[in-house]
Amino acid sequence: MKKIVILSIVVLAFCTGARAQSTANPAETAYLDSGFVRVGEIQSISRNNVGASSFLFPSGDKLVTGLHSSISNEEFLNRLKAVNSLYSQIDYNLFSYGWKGNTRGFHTLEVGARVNYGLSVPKEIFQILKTGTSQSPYDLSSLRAFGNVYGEIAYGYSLPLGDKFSIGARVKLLVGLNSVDVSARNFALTTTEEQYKLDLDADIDLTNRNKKIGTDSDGYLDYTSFTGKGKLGFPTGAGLAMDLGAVWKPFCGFTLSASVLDLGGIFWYYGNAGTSSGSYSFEGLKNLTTEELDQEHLSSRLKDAGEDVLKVIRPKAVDRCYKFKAIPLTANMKASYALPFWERLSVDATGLYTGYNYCAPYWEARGGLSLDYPEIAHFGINAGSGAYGFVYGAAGSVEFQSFRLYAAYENGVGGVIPYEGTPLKANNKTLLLGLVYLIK
Amino acid sequence: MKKFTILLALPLLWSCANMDYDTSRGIDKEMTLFTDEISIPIAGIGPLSPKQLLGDVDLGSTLGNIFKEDENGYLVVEKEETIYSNPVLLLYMSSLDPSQPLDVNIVDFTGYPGASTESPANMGLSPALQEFSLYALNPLTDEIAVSGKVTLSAQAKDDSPAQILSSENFDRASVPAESNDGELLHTEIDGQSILDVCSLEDMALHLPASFLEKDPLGGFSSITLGYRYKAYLSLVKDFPMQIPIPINDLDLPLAQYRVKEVLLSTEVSNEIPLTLVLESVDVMVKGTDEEGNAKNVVCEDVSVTPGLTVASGSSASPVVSSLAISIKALEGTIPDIAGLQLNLSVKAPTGEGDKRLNMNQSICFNNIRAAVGGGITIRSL
Repeated sequence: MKKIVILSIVVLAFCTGARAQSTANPAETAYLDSGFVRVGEIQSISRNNVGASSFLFPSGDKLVTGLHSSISNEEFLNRLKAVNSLYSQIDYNLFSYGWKGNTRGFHTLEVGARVNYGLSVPKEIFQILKTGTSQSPYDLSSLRAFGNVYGEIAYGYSLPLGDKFSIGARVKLLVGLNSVDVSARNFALTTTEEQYKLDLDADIDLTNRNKKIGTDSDGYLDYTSFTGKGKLGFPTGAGLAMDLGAVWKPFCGFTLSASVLDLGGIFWYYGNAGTSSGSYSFEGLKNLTTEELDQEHLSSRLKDAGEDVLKVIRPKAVDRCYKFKAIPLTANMKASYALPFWERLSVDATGLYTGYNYCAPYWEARGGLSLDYPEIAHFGINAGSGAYGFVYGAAGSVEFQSFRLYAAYENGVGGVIPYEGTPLKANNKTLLLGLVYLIK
Repeated sequence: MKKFTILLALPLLWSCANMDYDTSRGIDKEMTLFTDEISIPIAGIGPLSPKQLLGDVDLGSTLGNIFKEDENGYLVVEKEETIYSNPVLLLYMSSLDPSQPLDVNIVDFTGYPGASTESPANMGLSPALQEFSLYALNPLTDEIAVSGKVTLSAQAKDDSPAQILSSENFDRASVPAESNDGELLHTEIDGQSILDVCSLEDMALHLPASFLEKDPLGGFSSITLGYRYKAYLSLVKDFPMQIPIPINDLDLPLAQYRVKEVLLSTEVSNEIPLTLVLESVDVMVKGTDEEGNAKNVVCEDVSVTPGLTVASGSSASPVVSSLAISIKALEGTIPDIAGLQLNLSVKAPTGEGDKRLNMNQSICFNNIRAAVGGGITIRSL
């Protein structure tokens, strides 16, 4: 079923042509003569620098994991990145309204929400599991898990400066709904024959103003104990962001546009902050006596050692705090040239860079063709290269009696897991679907 | 139009499903971890002393006739013998003029302290250090004196003359008033020569004038002369037999982890002046006897490094020996281990230093760690 839905969107994308409101250049509306109402646009982005084939391997008539004995160390580890990241983002544009003001400019008002979450796992963890501890010491501080939910209320204004140049800006009020961020300033593991040593300095930041995680008698966060009623969605952060853009048409048929989106961040209120900090060394069970060489005593000593480790790993409650965290920053550039012999066909070149606070940045450059039939349809295809290899995409829109339905699909190569669609290789996948009513 | 459609559909082919990765066939979750090697610190055991290992066993009642443990824990044989003892009243009666000081001649004496070491010698234990002391008990309220000559000698094994270990003359050596342990002579003999004979010649007691009046018991106290002998034992001969140490009911379920080789390493710090040799280790697995009854049998498919030696040490300077025990599957992987059969040899200490055996001397197995090579297989994480 999922496959059918995806394919339907892809087919729609080929038949149409579009881009997401949230990632559009704010200057592009400057030359619009009439307004629009946009409802329910949704965009899904997943960017993974590793795919399922980094962890699963065909072996005979079955699949095995990279830790199976039939998979060599090099075969498994060479498919992993230094930091293996999974990142997902969903943008939901609840409502957008655009109108031509009394002056030359064009106004937009948008209300939406964004969810992003992800996980980064250092290669060293898999290296330890696969090969053992001979490569010590290990720096595991890139291990990270995060998730954020926030709303956006944006006002945009674009202004044509003559016939060839326009600028635009969008100011976004960001309303933090929930955030969790587990990150380490220091997470080092040193293993020798004589000693396993763990050094940890990590934060767990968890919002939720009205639901407080309790603490035990030693001050550690106790996830089984909560106080407060808990109101999901109650603001737990606030921030500002800005989109800036410009469009330049230096000569007939050629358009150059650039934009910087989501320049800003959120002051999150982390009411359930905790810190895991300390060092622990395990040198075996020391000074065992003959009386202790039985199952019961050994289990007890092991339990004591485990509790000592937990004292370092378990987060200790710290004072609730405000932390500023930037939202993913995106920079776009696009050059488009309408062919003189057939102006409906354009040659496009685009560039994209997204910097994350949480994981490695993503970039790509594409070239493409687009076909434009004003007030009827627009569609285009593109291909290029990005941080994860070859990428391609299609986007389009169709108009019918003031309604424009648009969709886009972008993907990388490498295949997917049958019936599931999980990418086998590092992949950037974007799905977009939206509907806009053009006020004429 | 058809060509255009094919061109548009091309990207779909790139993203098509790879049937090699059809997870509906199931994923084999068996994993072999740490394929190169993993080293794990396990434990440190000790210090373990013979006294701890014996627990509540009273060594004195067990081996009291052969040797005993002294107040400091040393294994010793002791002998005490009275050379001379006479009541003050009797000496008074033999005195011609009780108001004058009295010299009492003592008959020459020969003692055989080393005879007490014969029984331990049958067990390979011999004195590492011998202490001989001559003492006098003076109950009087005034000091007395002793003169004479003491000769300590070792009997020759053949017809050659006896070996003089110590010879000392003393003239009017003072014994303080009311002394219960007036030590006149203390000699230590280091080495393997046994103090077989102690000879006392020309011995004399020198009593003060009016000594009867200086006896608090009015003449019923005794003036005594004696010797004490103490031999600290050490092992000088290897134990002729290996000591089997069975470890039953170990029940280590290793087979499921498909381990091929385990290297156990440790540094043994030994204060005990004994050389310990682990001659062999047999790995026992569950099997059946000829009649089909369950029993532990020696596994022939697993080799264990033999001939591990823990060097002898001493209380003052423990000796550290590095041991590495390799347990290796000759074929396949190490099976479930039901038990171990250790064969231990106890040998005489080597090198210099104090070789006296002490029940408080300890042995420590420091930094026991395991290195597993070839991986550990598990069903799933």
